[in-house]
Amino acid sequence: MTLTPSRLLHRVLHVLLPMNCISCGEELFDNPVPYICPSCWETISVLPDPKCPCCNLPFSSPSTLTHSPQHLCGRCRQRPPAYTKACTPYAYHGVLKDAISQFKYHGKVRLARPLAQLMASAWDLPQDLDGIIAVPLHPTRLREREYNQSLLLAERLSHHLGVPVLWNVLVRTKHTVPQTTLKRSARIKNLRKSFAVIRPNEISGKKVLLVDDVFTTGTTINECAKTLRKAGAETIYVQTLARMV
Amino acid sequence: MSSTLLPRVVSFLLGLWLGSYLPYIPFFVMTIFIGLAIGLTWCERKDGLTSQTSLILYVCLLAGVGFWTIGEWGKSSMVLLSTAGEEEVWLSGLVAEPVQHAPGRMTMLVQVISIGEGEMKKKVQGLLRLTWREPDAHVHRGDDITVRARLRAPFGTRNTGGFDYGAYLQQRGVEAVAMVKGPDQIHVISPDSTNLTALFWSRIDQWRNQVRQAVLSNLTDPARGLFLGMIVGEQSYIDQEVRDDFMTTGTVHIISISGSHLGLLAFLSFMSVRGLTRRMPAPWLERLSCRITPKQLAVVITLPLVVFYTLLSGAQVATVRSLVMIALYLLAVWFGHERQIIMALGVSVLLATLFDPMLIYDLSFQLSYVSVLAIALAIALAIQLTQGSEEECEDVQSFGERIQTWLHQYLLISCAATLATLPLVAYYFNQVAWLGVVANMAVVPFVGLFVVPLGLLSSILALVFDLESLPLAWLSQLILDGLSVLVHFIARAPGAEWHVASPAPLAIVGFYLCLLFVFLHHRPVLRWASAVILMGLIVWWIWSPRLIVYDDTLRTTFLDVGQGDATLLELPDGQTVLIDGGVAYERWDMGRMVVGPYLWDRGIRKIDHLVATHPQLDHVGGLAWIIQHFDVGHYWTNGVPRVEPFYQRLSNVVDENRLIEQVAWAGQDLIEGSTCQLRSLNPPRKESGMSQPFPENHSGAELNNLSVVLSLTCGNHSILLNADAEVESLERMANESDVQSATLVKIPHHGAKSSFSKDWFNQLTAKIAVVSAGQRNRYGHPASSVLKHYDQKGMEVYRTDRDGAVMVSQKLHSTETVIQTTQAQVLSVVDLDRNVLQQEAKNLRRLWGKWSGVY
Repeated sequence: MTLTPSRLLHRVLHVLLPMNCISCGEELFDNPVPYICPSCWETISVLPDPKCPCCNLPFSSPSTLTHSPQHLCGRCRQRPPAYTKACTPYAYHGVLKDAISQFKYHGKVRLARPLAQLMASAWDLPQDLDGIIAVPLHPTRLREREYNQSLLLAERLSHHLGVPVLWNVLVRTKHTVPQTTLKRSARIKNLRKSFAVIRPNEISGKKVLLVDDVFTTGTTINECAKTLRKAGAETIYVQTLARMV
Repeated sequence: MSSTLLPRVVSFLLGLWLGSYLPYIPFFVMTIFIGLAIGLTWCERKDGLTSQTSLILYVCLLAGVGFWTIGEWGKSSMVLLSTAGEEEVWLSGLVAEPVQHAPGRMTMLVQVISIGEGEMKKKVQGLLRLTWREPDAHVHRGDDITVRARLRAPFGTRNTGGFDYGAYLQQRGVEAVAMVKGPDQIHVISPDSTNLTALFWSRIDQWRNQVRQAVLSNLTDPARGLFLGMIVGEQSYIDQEVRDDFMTTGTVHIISISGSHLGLLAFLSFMSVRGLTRRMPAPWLERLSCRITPKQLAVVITLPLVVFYTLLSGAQVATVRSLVMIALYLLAVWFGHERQIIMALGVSVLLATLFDPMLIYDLSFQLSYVSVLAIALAIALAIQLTQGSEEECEDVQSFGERIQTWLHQYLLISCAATLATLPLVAYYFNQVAWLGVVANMAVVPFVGLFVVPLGLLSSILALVFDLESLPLAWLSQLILDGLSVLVHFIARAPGAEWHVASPAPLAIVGFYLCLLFVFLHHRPVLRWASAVILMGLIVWWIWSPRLIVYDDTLRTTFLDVGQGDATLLELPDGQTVLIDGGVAYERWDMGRMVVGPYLWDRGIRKIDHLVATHPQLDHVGGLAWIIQHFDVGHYWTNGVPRVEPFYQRLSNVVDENRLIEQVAWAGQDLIEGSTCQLRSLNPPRKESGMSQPFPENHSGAELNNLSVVLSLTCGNHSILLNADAEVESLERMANESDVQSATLVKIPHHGAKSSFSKDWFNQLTAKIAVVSAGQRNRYGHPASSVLKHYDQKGMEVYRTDRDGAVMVSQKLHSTETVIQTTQAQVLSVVDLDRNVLQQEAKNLRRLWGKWSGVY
């Protein structure tokens, strides 16, 4: 490994401002990913196949898709989601969970790039997209948090894919309590009519990619997809970084 | 966690400190090295310290020693004075640091490049401190100057436990001082356009100058001095009385630019940028935050602002220290790293000492780091305490409760900073500024949140629009005057001004160890024990009792007050007599600088007899300050009034303090006791004409001949104090029995020729003589012809200009006289060609005296 100026800077930084791995607590010195030691970072792995072809839910039985590749999970069959296909490659636990929480709540925005790279490296969706849309935050929450973590991921992903971010198309109109504090039934109720598309012509008839950080029950994503669908989006793909399993 | 750097910094500092003693006590330092090595090995076995860690610690220690030693070598050349000689010479050099201004003068540090002119020009290198009185041109850092001046070695007054300005300058690498007066004395060439660093500093200095000019023309005192102190870092415009008020209230740090200014400025700028950015329309904020979050934007704007302030203020040590810490803090915010004050502190200590290792002996360096460390620990403690209580009450605190917690924490921080700086403030300033706990809580936020931002804003406006006047001057005037009134009011609290003896350095070290134990140790028994010791030390220091260990000892101290006189008598029964108090100019008051601190160090707060031998500036100048700050019993003079301002000041102070002027006529007994008797031998009693002021343009001789001459007799000892008596009065006294029986004589009139009377001299039987004179004074005192007589008579002569203060102790019931001088207490570098151990033992004894405070 050669010592590039940026790596040198990185080392000096760690001498001046020491930092411990946010996951294992080991003191960091020479880590390509900020805040996380290489050995922790390597433990992040893609969820094993087979998965639901629509919502990407991992199936417990390894042979579920062997005979009928289009076999959907129970939830997708009962209530078909508004999006076309979702990709939720990583499990939301362990190192990734720590990383996302730091990224989201503790201002560690430097994690946007490596996390977006994780998303890109597990790419499972068509590449011919017209635009990328991030799940929006309500202005009040945005001011609290100072940035929209999904938008940060979307923005890095847009560089990688060469697809533009569609700014300020989908907005949140209702200030709701955080989804993470609610049960599934309450979540759907909580989010009802809380999104809106303010510039429908930018998405009508287009193939768009909806980006979020974590796929928990899919309620938020689905509510967004519904709103986009109503505004005329033709195909809606969903890409999240992690999935609650 | 995180603490790998801190122990290394501490061991590096320890190394620097040991390194500074290496030339004086080499064997002892070596022994400490070996001891530390053994200690570390022991720790390795005992506490599982890895051998790598201990090795690194040891290497840091050695690095400190090495770094100090190399730094000393670099300075040892000292060629300026030997090249320049005693005469006036032409010299040229570069202005090396921001030029300091004061009313009617400017002071600059010049890196001398050459001495002499034409063919005689010689290249030399060395630092010169040059003062220009009544300047008529601007000089900036980085300028190339040519001047004709006479160089002198830096000098100050040398008194045991006192501050020696000469030694201070030498420690800072200043080899010589010089003074020029009047217009056109310094020829200035601005740096050429290729020298970017010089141009940069010159530009900064021009900015400072511009702001200073604007302030001088728009503000009036006290706002003027305070503004210049807080914004441009020019201390010399602040009135001494205003400074005393700040000193008394423990807020003196805010009239120089210290951490609190920079920190609060950074806080204000950070919070307002962040708050404003967060309030921008949501789509904009969303888009902006993809590139830079509001927090990061605040960092980007705050950092240049603090750097600008640091530069504008002349980049003094304490300011740069805070800049480094704030920069590290902001970097941590930018990179999302953990924000550790103590860590940042460690890094900034390291950077500062690598830049200049001498800083470890710098007063503002020590105060600044100690207070920040205390604040950091207090914050950590506060967080620990609130975390403990949070578990009990989970619900969100109400506004009132939040204010209450916040106030508690604030009080804790203020207490911690005051407590931690207490020993250092007592050591350097002989004061316990206990009011600092309260005063700082009001003054620091006021200054940080209003005064400094406003001052900077108006300075920036003045610079950007190139204004000759200061914008918003009226507002600055208003709030700074308000500040000074507030501080003055607080300083009038009963007992606010509390003076103490300088604590012994060993006790100070003990104090800090105990403090660390209280903060950090986990065993409650040790914590409590440390707290008790701590309280004991504080009470002892605040009390500062007089230590009369041997009640049959007479102590006489001839203080080094430069050219002038000040003699302190401590009688066996505890009475104190002060005879004269040295010179006093506006910023050079020997009462304040030498006599007062020495009295406090001796635990003296009451002077039973104060004698003004004759009204000349070099004898009574410092007495006004002494009367204001000490409890005076009897006030004796020679009964001659004068009309000059210094005498008016003195008589005003005498009246204000309701002292009755008594004339010490010849034959008068000032003290009539069973053990000691203090008698006046001069001036001869005159019943009339004493209320006539002494003619202004009269020769000094007549006044000198009217000086109060005193004779102190205690047991077997008799001391003759001749003030400035000249031949006429000496001849008159020649047949007094006190002259013949004196065992110690203070040579009259600083050893001047006009005060040598053969008749009088032949009567002397004393074996010891002391002369008080200033180093390289312009009168040529003491005259070598006079000293020769004393020498030929076989008398031991002590001189304050060479020996510093001369301290004489005499036991009543023996004839033995023990004499110590300040100069003899100074460590001397061990000469390896002579008996090393013997020299080292001598140095160790001196060190022990200094560190234990027992002289």
